Amino acid sequence: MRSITYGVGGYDPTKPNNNIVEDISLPDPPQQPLDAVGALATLLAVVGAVTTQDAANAIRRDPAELIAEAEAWAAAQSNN
Amino acid sequence: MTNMGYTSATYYGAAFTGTTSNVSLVLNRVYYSLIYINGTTTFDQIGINTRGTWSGTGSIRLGVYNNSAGKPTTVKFDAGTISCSAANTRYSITISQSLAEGWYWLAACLQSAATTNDVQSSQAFHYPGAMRYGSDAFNARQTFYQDSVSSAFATAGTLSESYFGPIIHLRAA
Repeated sequence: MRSITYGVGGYDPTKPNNNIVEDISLPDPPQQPLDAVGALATLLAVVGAVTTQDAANAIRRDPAELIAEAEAWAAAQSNN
Repeated sequence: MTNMGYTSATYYGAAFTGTTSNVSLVLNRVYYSLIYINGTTTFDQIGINTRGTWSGTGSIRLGVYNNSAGKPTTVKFDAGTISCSAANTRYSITISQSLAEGWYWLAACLQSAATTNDVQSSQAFHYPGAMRYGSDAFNARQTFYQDSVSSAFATAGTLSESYFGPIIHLRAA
């Protein structure tokens, strides 16, 4: 994740860098498991019933969250 | 209520339950979410997070409104706008605002639209210690919005009830 901070007053094209005073990268927070609806949407995407984008749109989540959920399933499967 | 205390460099926002979600902001719509500040506190940033599906460049105005009778009223402060072009990014504006104990409404308004205007949101805001059911007394209606706001924030006008909206952060100084 990225963090962009504007100076006092916010965006201002008359100031250097449009008044952006800080632009840094943040470590990604640990992924939280999706709820039951999210898990079902992920499953539909994994089996190819719908695209990942459509599944994410249907539950108003980020496609990256569904991908992370599926990766967590795969990791758990490989540990069994 | 005893002051819980606020930790420096920590972000605070309106209370909600469940997981975060996406909301695609509507152009010129102000979204209000209620926050209780339980002791005079100075805040040094106000911000909002774009989601991974954000695309294009858009402008979002951020600020805080005063509360009266459970609704946003006059402007406490208008922090200005952020120009958002990156997905999955926390955008903030530097402020220096002291808020006394009381209820306030965090406000965000998309004032120029990107291609996809998705920001982090909650579908289940609530009032600490209470649930507002709105005029139909049936569905939870804990937030408000106002349309046709295309410039600086002014005293709130015609409000519509809602239950979701963007998550807006205040950072304690």
